[in-house]
Amino acid sequence: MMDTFFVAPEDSGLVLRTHTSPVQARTMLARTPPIYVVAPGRVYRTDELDATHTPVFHQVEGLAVDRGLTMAHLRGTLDHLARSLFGADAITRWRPSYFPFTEPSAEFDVWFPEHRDGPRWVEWGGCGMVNPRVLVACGIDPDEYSGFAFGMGIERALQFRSGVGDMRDIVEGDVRFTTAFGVEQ
Amino acid sequence: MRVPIGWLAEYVDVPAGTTVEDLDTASVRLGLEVEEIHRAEPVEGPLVVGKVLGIEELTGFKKPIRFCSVDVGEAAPRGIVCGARNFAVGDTVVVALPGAVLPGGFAIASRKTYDRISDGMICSVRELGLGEDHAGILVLGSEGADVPPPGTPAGPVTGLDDVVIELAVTPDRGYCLSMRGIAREMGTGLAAPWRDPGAVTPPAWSGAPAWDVRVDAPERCDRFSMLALEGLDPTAPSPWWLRRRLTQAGIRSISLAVDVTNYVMLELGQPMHAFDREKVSGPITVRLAREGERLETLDGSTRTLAAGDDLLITDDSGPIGLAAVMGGATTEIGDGTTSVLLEAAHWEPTGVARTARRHRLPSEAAKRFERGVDPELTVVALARAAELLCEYGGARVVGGVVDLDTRGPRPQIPLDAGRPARVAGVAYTPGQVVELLTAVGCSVDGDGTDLQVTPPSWRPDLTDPADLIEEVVRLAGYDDIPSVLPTAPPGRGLTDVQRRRRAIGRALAETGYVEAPSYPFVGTPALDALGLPEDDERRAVVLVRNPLSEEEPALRTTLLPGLLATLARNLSRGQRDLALFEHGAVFPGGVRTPAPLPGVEGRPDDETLAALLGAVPAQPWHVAVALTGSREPRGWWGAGRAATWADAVEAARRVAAAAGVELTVRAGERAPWHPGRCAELLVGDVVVGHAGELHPRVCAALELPARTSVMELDVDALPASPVAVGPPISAFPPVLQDLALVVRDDVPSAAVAAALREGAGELLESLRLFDVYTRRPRAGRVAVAGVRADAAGAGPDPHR
Repeated sequence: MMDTFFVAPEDSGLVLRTHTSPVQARTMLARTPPIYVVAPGRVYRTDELDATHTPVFHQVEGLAVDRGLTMAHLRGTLDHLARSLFGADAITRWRPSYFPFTEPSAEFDVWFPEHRDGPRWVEWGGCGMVNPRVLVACGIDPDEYSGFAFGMGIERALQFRSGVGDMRDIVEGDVRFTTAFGVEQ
Repeated sequence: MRVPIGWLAEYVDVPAGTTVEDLDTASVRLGLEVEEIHRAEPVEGPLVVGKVLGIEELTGFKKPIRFCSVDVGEAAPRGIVCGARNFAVGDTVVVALPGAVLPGGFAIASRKTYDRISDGMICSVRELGLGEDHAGILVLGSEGADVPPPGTPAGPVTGLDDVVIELAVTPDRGYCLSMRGIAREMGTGLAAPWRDPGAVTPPAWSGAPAWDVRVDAPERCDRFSMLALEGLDPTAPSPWWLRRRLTQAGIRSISLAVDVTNYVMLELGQPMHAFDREKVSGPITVRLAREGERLETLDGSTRTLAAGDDLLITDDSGPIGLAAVMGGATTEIGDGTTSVLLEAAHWEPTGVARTARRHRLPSEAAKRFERGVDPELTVVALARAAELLCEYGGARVVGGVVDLDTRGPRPQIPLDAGRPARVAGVAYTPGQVVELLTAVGCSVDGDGTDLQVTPPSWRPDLTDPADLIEEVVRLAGYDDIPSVLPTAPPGRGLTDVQRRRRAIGRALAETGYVEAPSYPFVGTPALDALGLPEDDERRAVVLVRNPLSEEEPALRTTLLPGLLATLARNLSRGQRDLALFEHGAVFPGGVRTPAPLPGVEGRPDDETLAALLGAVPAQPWHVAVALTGSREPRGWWGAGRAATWADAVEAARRVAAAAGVELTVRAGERAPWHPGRCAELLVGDVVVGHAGELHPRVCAALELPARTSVMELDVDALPASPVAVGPPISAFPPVLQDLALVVRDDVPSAAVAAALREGAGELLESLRLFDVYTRRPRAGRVAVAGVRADAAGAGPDPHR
């Protein structure tokens, strides 16, 4: 990606991960289907810190690889997650998009009535069916198995779920901000 | 990609009543994200097309002024004063009549100026809010041009009423970086008839090819086409509608020849280049750059070319263009160019991407070639550009077309027609699948369920069945996909490592520590501030090649710099009593082997996989705390208690307890702790961390309060927690024993405790230090320690 941090020296072959998807690859290399995992983690991009960007943030990704999985199962999973996080009336909507590792791909929005600025659609994350070539590269037969994957930024979701106007409040470690959230809420 | 709706409507029969919002919704459903909708600021009141009938030059003022007689479609012409000079009698212009209000609240009225009554205003592009051009007034056309008659409302003519939809195009869909591609998508999305501006047959130009051309790198350029024109009027302006569309697209108008190449790129998606034909010397060769070659590009910078990778267009003089990215200065179209050589080619995308990155030239051409351009269109684009140059610049084509085409056939993709339904969970019929693929532009062979699909030339991204499935699902609409929660098998839960990390975080949080994760970037000054010796292993760092800040180019080897910076930030914001913690990975440096790059044709073999994982540096998980101010607040219950280094040691014990291991403590010495107030933390014989008071010099360097205490511990160094052994509970009553011992004051309490434990043996249940008394005797210093022991009554004589 254009906004990748590269590790020295030039031939190291290493970067700071720009998303948590390497966990998907590691999981598929280490296990055999059925696979149902959720991977939260820290990711890095060369964005300057401002009200909506931070160079170090967290994502959470989900991956499922099993027989007979379809986009309907992906939608069901996202709807379930939306209701769990944003209330029983939350719904999702998809927009076609492009990610090299999923095909078809979509970006998804969530609508929920408890939004601080009133009920509305908010961009939430990206998802899609795992590109069969990814399965092949991990030693999984794409004729037997299919998979879906989704991911979203945790800080961003925290911003619109908890009405945090400025990303800097999340990353600066001001105890007045952090203590408002309690332990494991 | 900025799409003017007026332009789009030339290709798509947008259904009557379609609103901008409808187009917005349709775009989003097609996967074209709407970034912004641009509307010109409205002009109120009469704004009309006018024709200049006469010009009277007024003299005697500070600057030359014209008093013009302008036909605005009324019975008599109006007199209008104008300061611009870029127009002549017969020109068609835009006139704001009295009563009009231009953008910015600029009200036009009939008024006396320069001793004349000015009955309106002839407008510039900027005054109309259409762009930045204010060098002169907007001339829609000269005498004889195809322009609307005087009096016509000027809003639609100037494009003032037009709305521009700005779309974000994903990298797989380069064809949507053209009006041609957008017309296809919108025609399909709105189910409206549309026509393909690229579906034209170029004329059969006669004569020998216009230039001698050779392509030495066919793997990087599989089609190269050229056409020559002569007799171009170098002063001929670009027609207003063309300039207007370039402005709407965000491209600056330069000259007719350049504008036309840019316009054709927007219309058809084929980037083009125009050479001044008089300045090209000898045959043209397309080849890779050689050692030491340089090229001055159109932007004026001289670029050193990468031998063997940058692709060039060359003539006898050397490089004259950086293929697919930017032309060279020596053959640039100038004020006197009358003869042009037009180029339209198809370049290999990844090579273009490398060159554009290397020279930091994300040009409009490179952007399109990287994402894939239709190779069928080179000659069509040449014909379209030639048509415009002939019509508006008086040019004529000389010789025949050059067309070096080495493309191979496009392979067919096999597709099971039932597969899209199995991927989407929607029951598409085979007929629907064929219909949608045809709408994409594919040709589909085969009947029943075994299809052979040939993607259209403008879709290089369609290579696998999965790509075709995506097109079917996308065009059928994502909204049709139902919501079904899968039944997941029982999971494995969290791993032992994950559970331990959570337990540690929770234990500290519940003891009043606030978690404060910081960025993992550090620099030498931060390590210096900790007073780390030159040979400290924490100075061996992993470096980032493109850090955000040159001051912090390394990844952290200790959590302390970030944690102490957060502590300082909180102090500066008025906090006094702070207890912070962070847990996370640190990145020790060291020698590593480069990671191999495995293929993607299958699972990497175990050896490659091991090499891959081995190339990633170890990233041990650390936990650290920092405290300052009061640990317990002052209140009605008492005076409170200041945080001390003992709290930092206690935090380490909490961490160990949460991890289920036993920690021992002994005196240690390590930066940044204060010697004598630094405890080494051990599990068995292994040192896993340190706790204590910061060295006063460190506190001073970081502007932290004196006696700030910290702890850092390597969680990964903690062994797995052993299975707990149930202690025998004695049936005898316990015996409490206080012991007072006189020892030298350099004997740590842990040593006293160890000696007592050893002496007491199995009978000892617990032991704690409850008081310390120190005084200075005549020789040496001693401390009296009061130790309280609980011994299990294991027999008739517990005091034996």
